[in-house]
Amino acid sequence: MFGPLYRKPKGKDVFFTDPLLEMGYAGRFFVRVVTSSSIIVQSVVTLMALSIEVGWVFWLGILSSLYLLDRLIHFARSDEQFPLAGPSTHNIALYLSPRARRAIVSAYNKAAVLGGGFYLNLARILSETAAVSEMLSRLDIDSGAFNSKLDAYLVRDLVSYKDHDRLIGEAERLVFVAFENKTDEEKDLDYANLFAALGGIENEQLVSLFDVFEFGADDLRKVVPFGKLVGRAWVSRLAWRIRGLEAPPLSAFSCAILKIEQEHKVKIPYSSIIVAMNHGDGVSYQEKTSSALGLIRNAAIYASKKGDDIVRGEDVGRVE
Amino acid sequence: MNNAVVYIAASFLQRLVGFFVHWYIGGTRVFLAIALRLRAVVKKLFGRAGIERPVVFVFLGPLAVLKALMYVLGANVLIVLYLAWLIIPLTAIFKVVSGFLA
Repeated sequence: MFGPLYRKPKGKDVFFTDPLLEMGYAGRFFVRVVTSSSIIVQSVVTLMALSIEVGWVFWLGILSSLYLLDRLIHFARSDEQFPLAGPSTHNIALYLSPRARRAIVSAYNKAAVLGGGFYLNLARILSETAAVSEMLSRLDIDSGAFNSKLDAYLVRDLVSYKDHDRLIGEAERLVFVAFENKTDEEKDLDYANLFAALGGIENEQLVSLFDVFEFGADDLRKVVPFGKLVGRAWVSRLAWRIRGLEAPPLSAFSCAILKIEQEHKVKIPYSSIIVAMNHGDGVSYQEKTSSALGLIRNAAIYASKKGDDIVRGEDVGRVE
Repeated sequence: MNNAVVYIAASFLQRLVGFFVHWYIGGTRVFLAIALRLRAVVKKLFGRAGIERPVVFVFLGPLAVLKALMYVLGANVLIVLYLAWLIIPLTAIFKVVSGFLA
């Protein structure tokens, strides 16, 4: 539906192109100011229209309020949703959530003006988000320490390249890695997908940074569902229920873990989930996850009773 | 800057088209999902009652009538709501245009 805004490169069926990155800094700034302020202006005008007793103005207010409501409902949704459908050419930019797209543009702006490279700037922007904090804490990594180290790398790299083509190339590469990493049940690419993709990029600074904290692309990929669901697991559950469908297995499992954490006020690191999966009975994925969830729930109750706020691997083994 | 103005205008138009797509196509999907859900609920309410409990067998006739009534009532309510849903934006556009031209 949003295709016409995007220029398709010759000879490529799946590509990444974003008109915002093709504009100059002033253009991007202008777009940002206009799009951010237009919603506020429209809301005020709509309220005024609804309070005026002239028939057609009132109905214009109704129409405008329906449009605003639609924008509100779809504000976090990507323009298109996976699986790739319709024509054989696809721009991956359309499958990015609006906030993920903003993060890419913001990282590009910072790298183009201040230097530091696209990847490090994007990592810094993403590391401030709840999704990435959740992913890091799930991997038992202190996000404060990670951010400090990231800042040190960024300062060290500030004198580096700022040229447009190289930065665009880096953005394109990252989005393609995120696209290749995504699971079948994911509908869009969000903060968590971009951060996990950083783990798959052969960038000297990033590899060195991730080595310091002893995690890699595989670890990041495993905690993506938690990053995507944090703070909105209930919205996800509600959406599946409204559609009358069952949540896909990975999302259902991650939602259940988040629910156990909320109920028993504990944190369940990914290492403990691995222990539970290894101890869980069953042959199929569903049987195994169901058994693992039982073990995790018991371990959470045990940890909570002894006053611990983390469910450790040995707790899961103990309550088996 | 020209690119930026074109981008904003094109984005606005696409959002506007998107609104109607969401309203009509998305709305139809939601109504269909609700209809299927209601059908499943009614089916669950009346399903296999006579086979499992012989005492209830006597009431199977009235139960079937009740089931049919619930289907008809549910379908009618849904159809009315769906038609109302379809005409809301069109009514608003008609009122705006006719009021503006009057």
